[in-house]
Amino acid sequence: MTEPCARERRLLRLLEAARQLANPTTKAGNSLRRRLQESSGLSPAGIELGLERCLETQPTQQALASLLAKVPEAPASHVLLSANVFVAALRAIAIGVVASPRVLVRASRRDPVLAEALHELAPELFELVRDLLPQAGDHVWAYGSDPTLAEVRASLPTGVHFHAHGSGMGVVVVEARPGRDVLAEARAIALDAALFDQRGCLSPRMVCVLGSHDRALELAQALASALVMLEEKLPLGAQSNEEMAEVRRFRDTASYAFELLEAGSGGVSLSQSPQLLLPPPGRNLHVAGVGDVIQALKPFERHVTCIGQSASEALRARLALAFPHARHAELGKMQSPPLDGPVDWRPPAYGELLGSNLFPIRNRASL
Amino acid sequence: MRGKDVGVTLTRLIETSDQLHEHVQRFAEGARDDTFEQLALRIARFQERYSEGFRRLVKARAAKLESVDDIPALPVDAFRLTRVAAYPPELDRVRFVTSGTTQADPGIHVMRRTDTYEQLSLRSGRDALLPAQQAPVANPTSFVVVALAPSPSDPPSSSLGYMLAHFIQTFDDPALHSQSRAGALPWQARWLVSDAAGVDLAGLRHATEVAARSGRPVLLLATAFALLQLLDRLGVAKLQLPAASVVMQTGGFKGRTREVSAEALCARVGAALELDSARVVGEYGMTELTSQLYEPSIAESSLGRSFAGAPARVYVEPSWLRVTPVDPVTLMPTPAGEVGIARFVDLGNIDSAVSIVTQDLVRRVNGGIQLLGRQPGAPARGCSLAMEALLRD
Repeated sequence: MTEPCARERRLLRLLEAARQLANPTTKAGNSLRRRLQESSGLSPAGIELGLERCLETQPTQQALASLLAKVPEAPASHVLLSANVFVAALRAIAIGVVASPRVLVRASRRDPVLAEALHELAPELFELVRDLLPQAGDHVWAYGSDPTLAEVRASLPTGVHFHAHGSGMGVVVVEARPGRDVLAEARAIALDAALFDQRGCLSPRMVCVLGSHDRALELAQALASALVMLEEKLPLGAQSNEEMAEVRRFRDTASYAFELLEAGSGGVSLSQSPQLLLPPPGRNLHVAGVGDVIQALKPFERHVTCIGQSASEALRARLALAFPHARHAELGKMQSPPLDGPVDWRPPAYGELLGSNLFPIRNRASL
Repeated sequence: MRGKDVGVTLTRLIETSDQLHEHVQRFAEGARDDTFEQLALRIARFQERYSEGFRRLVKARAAKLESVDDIPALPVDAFRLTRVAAYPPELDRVRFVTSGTTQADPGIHVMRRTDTYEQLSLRSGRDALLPAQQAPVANPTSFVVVALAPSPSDPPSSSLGYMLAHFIQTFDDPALHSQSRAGALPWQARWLVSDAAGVDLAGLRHATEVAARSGRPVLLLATAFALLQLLDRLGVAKLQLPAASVVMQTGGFKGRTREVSAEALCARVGAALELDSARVVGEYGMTELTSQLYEPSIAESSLGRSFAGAPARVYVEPSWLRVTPVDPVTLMPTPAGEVGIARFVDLGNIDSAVSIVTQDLVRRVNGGIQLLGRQPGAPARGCSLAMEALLRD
C-alpha cells in the first residue's frame, strides 16, 4: 500500500499545477483560457470567474485531511469526467490521485481542456485515455448524467468499486428574518446561479422563501434585478438549440402557470402556491413562498446536491437533519465547496462493489 | 369586482363559450359559416379575455392573435402545474387526469361541457373505424364493441375511458347490453382489463363468440400495453375475430417497463387475432386534447376512402384539429417535410387552451402526420439535472 505521505505529495503536486493554470499571467494559464473559450461555451468573464472562485487551488489543511481520509486506496483508479463545470475536473482527478499512484482519466469529449492542461503540467500523476478498462479491485469514479452512469455501471466487470456521481441540482432556502438584507441575498443567489451558466449539479434552480407570498415576491423581484445587473459583467455564454428549446418551454409554461419576471437573458418564475418547478440551466430560477420548506423539498430529495441558505440556526439544523446527503452552504458560496471529498454526497457517492450483493464500500471516515 | 358584476361576467363567459361550442359542433358536422382560422382566433380571444394565465402568455409572447400561427401554444407541462381553464372550478363537469408518472403531479384537463368532446370523438371514431355509410342513419353500425381497458371510474377521470365508454354505447346494438337477453353482453362484460387480473382473455373469447353468433364483427378498443398483455396471455394460441373486425390501438408505454414498435405490435396483433394488420388502427390522443387523430387504414371507412394509398403509420387529423410541426425554439412552423415538435390547434379545447405544444416529434407527409417519438429534453449534460429526469421519477 502507498504511504499516506505519498498520497498527499501527489495531491499537492496536482494543486501546484492547478495554481499555475489559475494564474492568468502564466503561459499555461493564458493558454487554458483561450482553449476554454472554445470548449466550455462560457463567456470569457464566466471562465475567469469560475477559475477565480471555484478552482480549488488553496484548500485548507482541514479540507485536505478530510479528502485524504475519505478516499479509499486502490490498485488503480479510473476517472470518467463530464463536461458542464470545467473546474470539476480538478477535484475528480484529485480524488483519483489520492486513491492510487496509477490513475487513468477519460476526459469529456466536449470539454477535455482542464484535464489536458493539468496533464501537460503534471504528466506523471495520471494518464489520459480514450477508454477505461478497469479490473476487479480497481475503483472507478464516474461523473455524468444518470443514464450515462447506468450504462457505465452495466459495462463494468464484477469486483470493480464504482463511485457514481449523477445528475443533481442546488436549491436555496431563505428564511424571512428581521434585519436580513434582501438585495444582498439576491446578489448572492444570482452569482451562484450565473457561475457555469447554471449547468452544474450545485447550481441553484429553485428558491424556497419561508413565509408569505409577499416575501417571495420581494426576493423574486430583487433576484430578477440582480441577474440583470450581473449579466452586464458576466454575460451568458453560448447555448445549444436544445437548451434554448428548454428555456422557451419553461418561459411559456411559467408565464401561464405562474408569474414570470424578466431577468436579462433569463427569467424568474414566481408561484403563488408552494408549488416548485425546475427551470432549465442558463439564468433561470423558480421562487416560491413555502410554509414548510422540508415538506416542499422532500419530493426532490434524491436530486438535491446542495442547499444554499440564509436561515436561522434552528432551520439550518432542521435542514441538515432532513437532507444529510446535501452540502449546506452560505448564499454566494454554493459553487465553491471545500476540497474535502466529492462534491456530491448522495448515495452511492462513496461507492458500491459490483457483483457482490452490491454492498456499499466501507469508507475510512464517515460523513 | 362586486357580486353583481361577477355574476354578469360569468353569464357573459358562459354565453360566449356556449356559442363557441355550438359553432365548433356545427363545423365538425360540415357547416362552413366559419373557417377553421376564424374559429381558432375567436376561441383564442375568448381565452385571452377570461383566462388570466393565457392573457399572461399572450403578453409575454407579444402575440396579436391575428393568425393561427400567432396563437401562443401552451406547453402541456402547464396542465401539471396549474388549472388550465377559462372559467371557474365550480363549473367543472369533468376532470380528466393524465397517467404515466408517479412523482410528478399529474396533468388535469377540465371541461365545463362534455357534449362537444363526445360529438367530436364519436365523429372521428366513426370516420376512422366504421364502414362509411351511403346515407346517414341513426344507428349505422352493428359491431360488438369491447375494450381492453378497465371500466371507467365514477366520476370519470380518464379521458380515454370516457371516450371508449361512448364508443361502446354508440357503436353497437343497444339490445346487446340487455342483462336479461340470452346471448347479450352487458356493460361490465365490455371492459376486459382489471387491476387485479389484468387482461380478461376469457371475456374476450366470450365477446367474440357473441359476435360470431350474431353475425357481427368485433370492434376491439385497446391500449398498446393491454394488447401486449393479451399477446402474452395468448402465447402461441390464436383467437380468431370475425371477418371485418377492427382493433383500435391507442397510447404508448409511458411509465411501463416494456416497449414495442407500432409496426411490430400491429403485425403481432393481426397475426394473433387472424386479422389483416391494416385492420389494427392507430389512434393518437392525449388528455390535454379534445380531439384525436387516426390512421386511415380501414379501406371501407370514410377516412380510408379519403386517404386511400396513404403510407402506413401516418395519422390524419379531423377538420377541427390542426397539427403543425414547429421549431422547438421559435415555435414557428418548420419547412415542409421537416421534423418539428407537435403544435396542436384544437377547436375542441374551447374552455381550456386552444393551442398546445408537446415534446412529440412529428413530420407532415401526404396530408397526414408521422409520429416520430419524443423530443428529448435538453440532453442531460453532465451532472445538471434535466426537467425530464424529474418527470421520469
